[in-house]
Amino acid sequence: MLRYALPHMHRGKLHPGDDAPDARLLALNGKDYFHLRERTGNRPLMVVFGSYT
Amino acid sequence: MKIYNDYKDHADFLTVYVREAHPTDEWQMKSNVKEDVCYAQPKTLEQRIAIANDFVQRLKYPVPFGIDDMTNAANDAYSAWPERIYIIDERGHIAYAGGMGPFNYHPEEARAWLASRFGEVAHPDAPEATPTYRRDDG
Repeated sequence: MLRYALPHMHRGKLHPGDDAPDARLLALNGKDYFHLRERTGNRPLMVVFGSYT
Repeated sequence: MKIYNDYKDHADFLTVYVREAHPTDEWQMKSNVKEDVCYAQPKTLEQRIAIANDFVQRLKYPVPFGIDDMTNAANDAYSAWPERIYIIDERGHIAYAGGMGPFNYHPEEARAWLASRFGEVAHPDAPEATPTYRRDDG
């Protein structure tokens, strides 16, 4: 378990007040890219990171 | 996803799909086998896209979605794996930084932040539940 998990577990370096990093993301169609920061500015943005399994 | 339904008129939402937490070729969970959610860790972007689409279609997931590519840049920038919640304010600053899942993953904290801004949403007939997008979270 630890062999798989430990390399990817990070405490987290972002804190309230920090600038939110940008990231390029792919849409579900597998073709179109967008940037996370394109979704910010008008309203608060809640971002949930995760996977299926 | 209850938080999304409750606050989508006030805030924007984005789910970012990152590397799998419990793939079959790494640390598979019995619950995944039971629920027939068995995927190897994607080795290509196409595989990651396919799993993301399976997720959205199978769960009829309504929240806007983005996929981290195989560089895992979003995952790295946000220390996201296996799961984590952030709220980014209108100025582009981190307003809420959740803990690393699963043990420090607390959607109710994000809900509390939204409630402090926009008011609480009552569900008088619904059982108490922690909003989550993962089916095996409490």
